Amino acid sequence: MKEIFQIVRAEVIKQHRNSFHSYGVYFTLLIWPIVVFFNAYYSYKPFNLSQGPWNTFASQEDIIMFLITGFLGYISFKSLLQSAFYMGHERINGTLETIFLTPANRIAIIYGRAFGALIENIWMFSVFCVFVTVWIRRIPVESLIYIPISFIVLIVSAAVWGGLMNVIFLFSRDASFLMAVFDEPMILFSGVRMPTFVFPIWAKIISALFPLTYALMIVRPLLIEGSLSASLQGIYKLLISLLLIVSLTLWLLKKAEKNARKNGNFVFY
Amino acid sequence: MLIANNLCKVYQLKERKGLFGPKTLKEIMAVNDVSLEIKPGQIIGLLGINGAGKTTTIKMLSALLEPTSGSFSINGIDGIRYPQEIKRIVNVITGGERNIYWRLTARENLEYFASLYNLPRHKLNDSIDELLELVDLKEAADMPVERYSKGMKQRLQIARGLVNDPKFLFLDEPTLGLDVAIAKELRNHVRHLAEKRNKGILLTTHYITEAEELCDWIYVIDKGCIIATGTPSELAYSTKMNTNILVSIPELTSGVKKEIYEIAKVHQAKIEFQENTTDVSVSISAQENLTGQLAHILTSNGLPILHLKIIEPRLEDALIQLSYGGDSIERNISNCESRSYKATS
Ligand SMILES: Nc1ncnc2c1ncn2[C@@H]1O[C@H](COP(=O)(O)OP(=O)(O)OP(=O)(O)O)[C@@H](O)[C@H]1O
Ligand SMILES: [Mg+2]
Repeated sequence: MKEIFQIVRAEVIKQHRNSFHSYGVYFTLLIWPIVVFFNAYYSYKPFNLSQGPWNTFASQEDIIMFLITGFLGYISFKSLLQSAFYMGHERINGTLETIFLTPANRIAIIYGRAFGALIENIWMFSVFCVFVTVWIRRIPVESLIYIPISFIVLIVSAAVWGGLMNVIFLFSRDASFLMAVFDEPMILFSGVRMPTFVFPIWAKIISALFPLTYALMIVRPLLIEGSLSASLQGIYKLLISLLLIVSLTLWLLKKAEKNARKNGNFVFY
Repeated sequence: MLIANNLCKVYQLKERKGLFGPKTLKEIMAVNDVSLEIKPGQIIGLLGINGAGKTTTIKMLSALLEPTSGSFSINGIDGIRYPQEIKRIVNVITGGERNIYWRLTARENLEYFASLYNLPRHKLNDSIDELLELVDLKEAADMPVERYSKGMKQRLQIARGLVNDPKFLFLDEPTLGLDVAIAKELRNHVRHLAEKRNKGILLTTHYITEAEELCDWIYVIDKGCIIATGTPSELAYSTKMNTNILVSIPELTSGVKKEIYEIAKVHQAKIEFQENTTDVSVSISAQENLTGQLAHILTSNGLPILHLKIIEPRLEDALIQLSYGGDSIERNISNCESRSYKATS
């Protein structure tokens, strides 16, 4: 356990050093998500919000909360896809092989990378979100606990997702298609910008593939309605989804290293 | 002690003609029946031309690649069954500027890789300082690697290769692209590691003088097969290369000429005389070194030696002959190819 913690720590520090080298990073981490968020918000504004899917919400603030939780989740998941994509650079730099030259616990490396990237990428936007949440909701003191709970739900599910992305990139150097497959569809099908219950059945099936869908099912009732009971139904769905993803990740990881030991392909690029 | 027995590696390449063409399976026998031994404190050379199978051998010994057949053990640990245990006690240093994070400093790089070996944190900092000292990067320790020169990056690689204090160290062309002074310094490091810290070292290099200078024992590998082994000088003489002697003397009498012809006849040497305006130069080429006998003839006839040059066979020439032809080892190679055919079919 201590070993795993040490590796996670090393990965977090490494990723921080590796990516925080210019102010441009701050733009992508804070300004860009905010711009995307406002973009979404103002595209809804001209419409009559008392009709359509939005009529279940009480107010403008609710819509802001809906969108901001959606985007926080989306940014978390997307940043992990990017960090996995960075695995390709490690292949080229030869550092991927150097990592596999060590006896380090592979599972710790996979999830260490994910956690590292997550913490790196979302803390700034998270601060912004907390600020907005507290400001517009004037959340009662007894519900403040929902904020950290929501974060834990988002972070854990994103890290599990990130582990899978890392392994897929470990497996194949041609995995960049994932960027296209997972990016926009995830916004759409996970209900980042609109509630999933308005979807037709086929779209709901696709939504079920993204754990972000369930994470948002938990986080939104907590932060919008302040209701723990409403979020409970999402929990077991999320757990099952995460469990499946973790098993798939571990299976692929084993296969990837076996494959590499056979073909020597961690140096291919 | 590292013992490798009959290691083989066959790479399988799936090739496809065009985008939807039929898949064909191509096999490359990169390493074929390699057996070798490294004792602690020894520097063992693995020499061969491009594509001979050196890197593949090193990757198998460091448990990055699984051998197709054969076995190896390091300090009694079975390398096939316990690859993770092997990884604890070996490390690989590759030439070039890859394998380190350029945006991190030397210290951060070492901290990262040391963490992957699960060293306790308090020990980690001390040993990193020690390593930085060893490779003389103390001053630049907190500077990003991208600002380093090639030599500095290479020294950082060495430090990285030592973070887990490996018992056996594999150096894959470690002096690639370094200037002569830094390469020499690096060779001193390597010797120090073997002599003072008792590490077993396997070295591959394309600079033959480096192997001559450092290695206690050399394996020559070609097309995946070990085709010759020996100490550097044994190998140099093994290929029946001639020693050339060039002397210049002020004049040449027919008596001396006759005496020289006589020893040449006995030793089947090739002789050439060349009369210049001020002196005569004699060149003798034979498998044995005839310098002593030649000098004896000249001095006993009262002829002063104006100039003497002895060209002994060099490992480099021996290697070229071994790898690119030469009848003495032809048999050996064809032998090896018939074996490789058997192994893949
Ligand atoms: N991952 C791989 N997949 C398929 N074939 C490979 C792979 N790696 C090496 N080979 C092949 O195996 C053979 C031996 O390669 P290797 O890299 O071991 O040679 P080397 O002796 O290190 O050469 P060099 O001096 O150029 O570094 C070559 O024919 C090479 O094409
Ligand atoms: Mg090589």
